Amino acid sequence: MQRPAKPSRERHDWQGDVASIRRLLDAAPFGIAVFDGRLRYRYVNEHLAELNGVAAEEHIGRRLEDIAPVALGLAREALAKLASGAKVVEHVLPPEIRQAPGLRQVWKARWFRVSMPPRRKPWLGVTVDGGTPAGVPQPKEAKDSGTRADEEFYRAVVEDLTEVVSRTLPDGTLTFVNEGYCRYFGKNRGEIVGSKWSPRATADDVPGNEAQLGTLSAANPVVVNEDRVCDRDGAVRVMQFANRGFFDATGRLLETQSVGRDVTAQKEAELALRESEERYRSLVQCSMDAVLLTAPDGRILSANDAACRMFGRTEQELVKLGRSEVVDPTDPSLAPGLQKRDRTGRFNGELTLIRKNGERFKAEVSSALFHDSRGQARTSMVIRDLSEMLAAKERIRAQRKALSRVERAARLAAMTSSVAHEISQPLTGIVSTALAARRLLSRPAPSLDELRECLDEILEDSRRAGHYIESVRRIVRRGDPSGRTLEINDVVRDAIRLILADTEASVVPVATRLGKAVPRVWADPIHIQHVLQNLIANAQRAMAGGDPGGKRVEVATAFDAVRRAAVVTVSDRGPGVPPDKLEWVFEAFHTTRPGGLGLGLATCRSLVEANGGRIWAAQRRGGGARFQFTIPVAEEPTA
Amino acid sequence: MTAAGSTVFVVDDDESVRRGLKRLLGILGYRVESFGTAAELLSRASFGRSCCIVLDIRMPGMTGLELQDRLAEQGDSPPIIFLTAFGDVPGSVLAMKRGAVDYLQKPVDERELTAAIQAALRRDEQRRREARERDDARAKAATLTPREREVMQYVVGGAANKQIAGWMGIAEKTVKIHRGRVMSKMCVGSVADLVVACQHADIAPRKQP
Repeated sequence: MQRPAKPSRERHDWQGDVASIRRLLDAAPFGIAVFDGRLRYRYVNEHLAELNGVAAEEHIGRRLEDIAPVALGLAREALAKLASGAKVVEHVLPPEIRQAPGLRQVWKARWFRVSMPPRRKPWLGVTVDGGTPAGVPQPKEAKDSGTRADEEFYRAVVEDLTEVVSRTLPDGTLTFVNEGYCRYFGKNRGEIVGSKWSPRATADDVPGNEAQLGTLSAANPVVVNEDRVCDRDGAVRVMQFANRGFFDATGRLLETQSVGRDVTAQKEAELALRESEERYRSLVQCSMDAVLLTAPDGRILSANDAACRMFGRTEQELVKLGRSEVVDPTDPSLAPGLQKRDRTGRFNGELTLIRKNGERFKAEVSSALFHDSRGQARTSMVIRDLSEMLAAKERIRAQRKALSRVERAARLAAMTSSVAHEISQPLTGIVSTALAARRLLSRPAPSLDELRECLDEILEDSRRAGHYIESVRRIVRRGDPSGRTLEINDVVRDAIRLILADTEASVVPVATRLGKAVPRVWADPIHIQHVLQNLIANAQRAMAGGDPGGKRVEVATAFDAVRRAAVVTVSDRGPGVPPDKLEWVFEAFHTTRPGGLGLGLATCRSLVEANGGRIWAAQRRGGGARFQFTIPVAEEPTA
Repeated sequence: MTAAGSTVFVVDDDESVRRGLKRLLGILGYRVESFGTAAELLSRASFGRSCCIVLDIRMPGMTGLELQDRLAEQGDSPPIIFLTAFGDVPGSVLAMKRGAVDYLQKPVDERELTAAIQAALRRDEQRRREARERDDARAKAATLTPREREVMQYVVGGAANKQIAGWMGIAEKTVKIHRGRVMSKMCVGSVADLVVACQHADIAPRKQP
């Protein structure tokens, strides 16, 4: 690329007076400021003056930190970088800085050096993107001294401006371009001056641009337009130009001065922002929670569908009414809530809200303070109607109550039936034997031995009934275990010995696999024995009938270090427990066995739990059932 | 009817019930055989003599109702009296529908039990008589020649000798001879008795060739 020509050679090409140069800067569609070596404002254009909220002429001579204190750090950083050779220093400002006074709505600053006459230190220029670019302020008539120094200064600013500056004849011939222009398009100034501007715009845009520029008139001397142009690398970029026409006394256009800058990034950012806003908007619209967008002063700016449904109002109504009509102003939590939000930016709590029909209801409100993309303070309210939740809770509670009533009735019926069934067995024996005994007595010479036998059998059956009643009582009110420290393996051996002593039950062999390193447990040995006998008898019954080959009950003990408990496993190779019954088998009066009581496992659970353990059922791998229970180890130092 | 010589099979998984019933029914003069499971009864009992079954409806393994089914499948079931503890009511309807004699609740009343057993034994008497008659009629029918059997079917179908002769293509006189042999082989004196004998022997009447 050819180096741009030296400024000195170009000076004479500049045909305007100081005022026209200055107007060019004043009317730029972005902010421009120039600071001297001590960071005092030397020039501010209209756009920046509006961003700062201070009239342009009031800036002059004041220090940067007086008007835009937050920018001071940025300016110093820029100065340092420019001094060490950087051509341009660009700052994209984070949102929180944009809220600060003096930098309101500014989102990008580009710092550049303004060359001053020889032997003077260069000044610092900045161009600023921000605000709404739609309205270009009309420059006020500046009082210019018209001195040569002023002219030099403005020329320097125009030349050093990182943006693109050009002057064009009515036929589109360029008569001046600044260095920024040359840099941007990668051309030598000699190549550009005298040529038409149109080749640098994309062909599609040329007719539209020409039409826009055609509207320039003495009454409407400024036109802002956007061009898609090809930059030095041939990439298509979007440039925004402010074009000012200069007219002779008859209103004929003499020339157009244009200031342009690349707004591609801004356009992309705007597009992204719009998309993300649309996304958020649809998210908010579809939310099941009511969402209100409000202002800190209590105005409602928008409301989603859920909010409209909740209040029974349209969005327009809500916007018209404002917060005071939908939030109960007498709610004592309201004022502290608002204060908290002002202080911390957030508020979560319950508030009383008002529906259209006047109904007041409790709602959980979560509110946050934030600033929108234009820096306006906004608040959001996400509202969850608690009245519905409370009503739903109440409904569920009522249903549960009804259900538990039914369940209790069913359990009672099951228990009654089970108890009656089980008592009727020995009772049948007792009645039958007593009847037989009476018949015996009516014989001429009754056998006393036979009568004694009858009485013995009656007693035995009565005792059995008594035991049953005792076991029912044990479930209903389990006794306190009289615990002591004991070896679980001893208890297991005792239980198996007792089982095997019962001739009827010893048909199915019982194998043991006792863990060697099981610490002593704390439990009532009678309880544990009862549980084991029950489980083993169950296991044997599960394998009753059929071929005796391969039938075996296995009892194993182990230590579960995590639970700090001994684990006892009783497994069989019977039909197993159906998976859907695994949780039910321990319910009292629930039985899977015809003729079964449904008390055995319930008693087991009751006893295991009374000793601080847990019991559960599973399927044995390879078929059969596996019952396991834990008994916590004794709290003593293990040897 | 007396108890003497009749057998009551008691099937109940509960030891107390078995023992008590065995003692009571024994003193009442019945022969009692008791079984702890339905399978034991099936494998060990024979029902040739006068007998009935007192059966617990709820048992591990084969239930009382299942046993009832199995016996019905075998075709020659002694009458069944079901015993039930409280809570098995739904089973009772089914049991009665399938022909149980009675359905008694534990603990059983002596009079109820003996009345049910008497009814059951009466029904068993009838069952065995019918079985005897059936066997008898079948044995006799087996001695008939094919011709005689054909003539018999036409006769119980209500046909006159002349018609039978025409259908079979033989002389009416020959029909008369066959008919006489049928009556004597089946040991009956009238057509009405022959009809009953055919029913017992399960031989269908023929009304046309």
